[in-house]
Amino acid sequence: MNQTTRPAAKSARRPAPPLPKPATRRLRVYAFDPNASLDLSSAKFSHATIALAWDDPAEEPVSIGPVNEYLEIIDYDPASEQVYAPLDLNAPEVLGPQGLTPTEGDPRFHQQMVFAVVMNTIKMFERALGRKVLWAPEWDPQTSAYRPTRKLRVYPHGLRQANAYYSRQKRALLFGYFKASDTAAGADWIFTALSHDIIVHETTHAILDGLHPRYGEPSTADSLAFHEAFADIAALFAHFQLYEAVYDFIERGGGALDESTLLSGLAGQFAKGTTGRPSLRDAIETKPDPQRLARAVEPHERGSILVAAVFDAFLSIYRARIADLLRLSGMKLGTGEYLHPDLIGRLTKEATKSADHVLRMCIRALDYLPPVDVRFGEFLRGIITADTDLIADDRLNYRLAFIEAFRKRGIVPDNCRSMSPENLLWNPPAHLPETVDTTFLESLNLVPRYKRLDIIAHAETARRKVWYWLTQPEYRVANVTLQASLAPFLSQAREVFAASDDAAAGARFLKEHRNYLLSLGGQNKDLNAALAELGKDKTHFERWITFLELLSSCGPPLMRDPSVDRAWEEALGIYFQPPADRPLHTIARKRAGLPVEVHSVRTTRRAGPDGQDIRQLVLEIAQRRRGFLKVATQEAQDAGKGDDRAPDFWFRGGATVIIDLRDGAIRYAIRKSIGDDERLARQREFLGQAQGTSFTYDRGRTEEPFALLHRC
Amino acid sequence: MPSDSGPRTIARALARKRPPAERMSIRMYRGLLGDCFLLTHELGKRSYSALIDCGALQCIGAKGKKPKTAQAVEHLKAVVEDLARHTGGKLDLVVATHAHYDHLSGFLLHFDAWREFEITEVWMAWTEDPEDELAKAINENWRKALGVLKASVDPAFGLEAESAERIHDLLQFHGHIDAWPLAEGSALAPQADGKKSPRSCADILRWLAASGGTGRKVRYLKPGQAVAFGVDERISAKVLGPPRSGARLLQMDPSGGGGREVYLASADLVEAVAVSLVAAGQAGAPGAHALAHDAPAGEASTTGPFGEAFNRTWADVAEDDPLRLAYEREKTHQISRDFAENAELLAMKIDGDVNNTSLALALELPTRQVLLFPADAQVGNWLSWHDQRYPADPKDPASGASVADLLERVVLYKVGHHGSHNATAKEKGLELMTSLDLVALIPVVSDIAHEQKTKNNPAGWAMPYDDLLARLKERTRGRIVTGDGNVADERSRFARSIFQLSYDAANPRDPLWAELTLELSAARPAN
Repeated sequence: MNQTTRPAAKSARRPAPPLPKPATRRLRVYAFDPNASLDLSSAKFSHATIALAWDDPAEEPVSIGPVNEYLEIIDYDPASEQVYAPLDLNAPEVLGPQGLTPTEGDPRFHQQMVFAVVMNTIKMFERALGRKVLWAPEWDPQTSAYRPTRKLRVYPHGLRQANAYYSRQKRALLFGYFKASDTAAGADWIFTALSHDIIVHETTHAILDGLHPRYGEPSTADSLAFHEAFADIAALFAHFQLYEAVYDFIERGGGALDESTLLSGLAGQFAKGTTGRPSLRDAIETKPDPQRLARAVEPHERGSILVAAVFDAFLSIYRARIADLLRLSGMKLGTGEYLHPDLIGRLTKEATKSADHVLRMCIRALDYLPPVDVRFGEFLRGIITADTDLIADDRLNYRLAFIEAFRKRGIVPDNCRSMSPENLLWNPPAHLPETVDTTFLESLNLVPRYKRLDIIAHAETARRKVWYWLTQPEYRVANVTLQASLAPFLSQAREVFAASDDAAAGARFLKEHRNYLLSLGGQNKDLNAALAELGKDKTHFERWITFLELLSSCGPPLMRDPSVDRAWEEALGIYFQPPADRPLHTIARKRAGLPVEVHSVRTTRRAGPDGQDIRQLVLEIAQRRRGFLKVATQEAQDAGKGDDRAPDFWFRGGATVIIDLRDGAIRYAIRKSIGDDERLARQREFLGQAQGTSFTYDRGRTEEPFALLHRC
Repeated sequence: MPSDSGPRTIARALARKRPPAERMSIRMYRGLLGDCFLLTHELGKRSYSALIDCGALQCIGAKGKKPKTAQAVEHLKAVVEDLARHTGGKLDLVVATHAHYDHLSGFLLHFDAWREFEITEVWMAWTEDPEDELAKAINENWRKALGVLKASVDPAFGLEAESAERIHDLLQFHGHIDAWPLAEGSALAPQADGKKSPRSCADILRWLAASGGTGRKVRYLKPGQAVAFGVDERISAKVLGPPRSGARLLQMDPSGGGGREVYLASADLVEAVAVSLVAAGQAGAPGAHALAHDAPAGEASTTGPFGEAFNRTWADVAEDDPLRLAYEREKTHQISRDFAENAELLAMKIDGDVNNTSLALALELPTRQVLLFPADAQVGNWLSWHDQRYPADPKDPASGASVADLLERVVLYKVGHHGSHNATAKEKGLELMTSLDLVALIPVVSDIAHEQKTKNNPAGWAMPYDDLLARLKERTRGRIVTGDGNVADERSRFARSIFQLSYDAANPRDPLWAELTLELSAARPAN
């Protein structure tokens, strides 16, 4: 019998195997600002190539715009009333040559460059933070809830000004363009969207705003400076990761520059080429002077000192890394000798690697900072603690490099006995239980999620649950069986109230557990009242508050355990109930206690170079208190005398809590206490000076804090 | 040798040797939310009169909304008439500190009376010097900016009402402004001298500077200069500001990084607003922002920065284009308001810049006491005073007095900008005025200040700013004369002062002026 395998009929032909997906999408960008008045004329044609992941399966694929999971680039230019044609990154003409050729004359290239650099910055942060970047949610006054911001809007030609900024209001990056009035070559257009450094700088503002929304508010010169300084740090070290830029510079400098000046020059050009703040260049190029920080009052100057300190740390690390290379090659830098191209290549690699490491250390530190009112010394402690948590064995002494650099510039944390690494670590919170209740952690349902939409939704649910858990007072029941069932009951309650925006779910839950509530000491009349109230409550937290009120109306056997609440108040620096010794009427009174906000609840997963795998839960909790510029008014308002007037400024307190997910241990609670009147006095003093950016003729100008900062 | 050497001869001889009485009087005209100060220096029978500004803000605004404001025009007339009477129509010196309405409106509104005055000398800041390159550049920029802003508040451009109001409020300070586009040159083109009445503050400055055959001397003062004036030139005016460096000039509040880049950006900002105006204007009706291809002659192109091929408007975008839908969906994320924001930024900046170029003077009397008149200088101007010595001598930088030294000897402080919060520096300013005899003059009428309500300042202007007033009271032990002060109260507080306080007798309940007189002995020669 002839049993031959013949190809089947036409309709059942086997499809060809799919082509392998590319690993990266390469896009060319300008390495230097093409119009910066640099004396390296050939640098004008220097391009760099940014490699982005091709298509992450968990992300929305990139489409015309370019638009992707994170960004939406809409090239509307209101000053010229134009809407430039959007770019299709998947067109063959773009894919073939690694993106469009850099040119100032085609707006589509501008879109390409902005897209590439913003995405690169985002990925840089994600690698260091160990989680996906989320943008700051928007408060929707109509629904009284936070609306997530899925995509950041980007306007590559949004302003006709010598400015570029992140607009909090519009959740957008706006890049300006303008004609330089003093260019000898005639009217030349300058686009901030073509400056790699400016793009990274503004994107960092947006990312930082998503992480710590309250950092945009000026409470001290440091906190005002921090945003700018951090954005500069990100831009500076991102610049140093552009292989072509660094190679070019080392090649030109060649043997004429020794290690210390080799890269400072590049940083100097960076400072000059960006928004032209002389203070930044000045700080990097002058010798460290610990007294300078004490004298510097103005935020830009302080920020520059911080950036210079981090840069110093980078230089030490870089020098340590290239020491063996120089010994091996027998070359001495600074003698004017010609450098072998291989050596330049290796030096460049070390520079980019050092820059990457330093930037990661700085980014990781962001989780180890208080939610409000950050100071430079705390940033140092955050860097050291974050790095110690991840990398126990600091063989190359990175941490010492940081400490030394900061110390030389006068950046010293308050209340620190000494500057040794052990003393700089944040301490675990005293008085709190060592671990968090496991039922609570389980209820947060912290399985890994990959799609950003899922992550956003889950973060919001988790935020609500944490908020419920925090605001609910600690209860105890004498009866052992009831005590055991109390935690799961409360956990389930949180689940129900958080999960649904539908009022009925809460009511159903109460009805189902009527008997249980009665056994806890509740009364039918209270229960019915609560059910009626639930029908009227409009938002999820109002419903939760109703539930809490019901619980508080339950008499024995359900008893409050105030000591636990007090311990948490102490650790977090906030108040759930008005403190006994001082009424603090400047914190608003709401139903069932003082309002507390939970900024974010995020899980992170950080990987270290030696296989370390750290999983943490990071919570940010804050509270606000009305602040007044006159001490007498403040005291009167705190005591509750006088009218309930609007504050001159908001004073905030709270804590960042870091919980180790492996064992539920509360590792750190980095707090700023809201009852700290000394800190309040410092903020009052800062805002009252003519040097603060507040209180000019127009008080209403604080809507766009980043625009004003940049206008200077 | 006269044979008569009796007591009478001795008396006559002694009388010849006794120095003539010398005194300095400072007259503040009250009831003005503005500056008008007459300084009279007397030595024996001779006197020298100097006027520092003559203006009030309150003459702007519709009669209906601001009743007190409207009365001020008559009040200013009384002031000018009193000046004419008291000085006999002759002024040895007129100082015009800066081109704002609250310092120059007296000249504008009663120009006919001013035309009759005989003015011997005029001082202005170097920023008004038509020969100075930097001054010319700054002024050109301002002229264009003001013209552009004036045009922008025209309803045809569809600027949001709130923005337009904010800009309009700031523009009030300049007097009349020609809207841009500029016909035959600057918006504030001066009227032919003498033929037509001046319409704007800038016009007044030009009129003052035009000596045109009257032999009037005009000086444009630079910081660090010391100019002698008064009878026998016994008083030395030390010029403290405005600063000549671009950085200092634009440091309205020191948190600005400043630098030439900022200044130039301002020109680009003007450009930006101007171009947007042209685009909007050529489109006609507000909101119909169609692309205008023809650039007006000599001005910037209204097309975008890219070539013709790339131009594309919303009309070219399909209705269902996903980007368009995304843009239209999120109203709060739209950016079509850019033009308004630019315009407002520009208005605020210009206002601050003009204040900051106030001519700030420290008048040093023969007794080495100092009278401080900083006009409306904001903090940046104050800080710059510490940059040089007085007089500044390039060959010997350490010579002359430091400003700290001058401030230590201040016995009379004319409070900056009617007591607003950002025109008196703290540590580098008021705190250095340590003289126990310090008195203060605040040319303000709080009621009128509070009447200047805007959306952003619903309670009007905080003048005098209460924290500043409290500190002034401490420093002067209550010896403050304000434009709306209580006469009896002030008299009692000045009982022990080195200054004699007197008021206009013609109107005891609400005197037209208050005068502080200081007796100087002529024993010490002038420095």
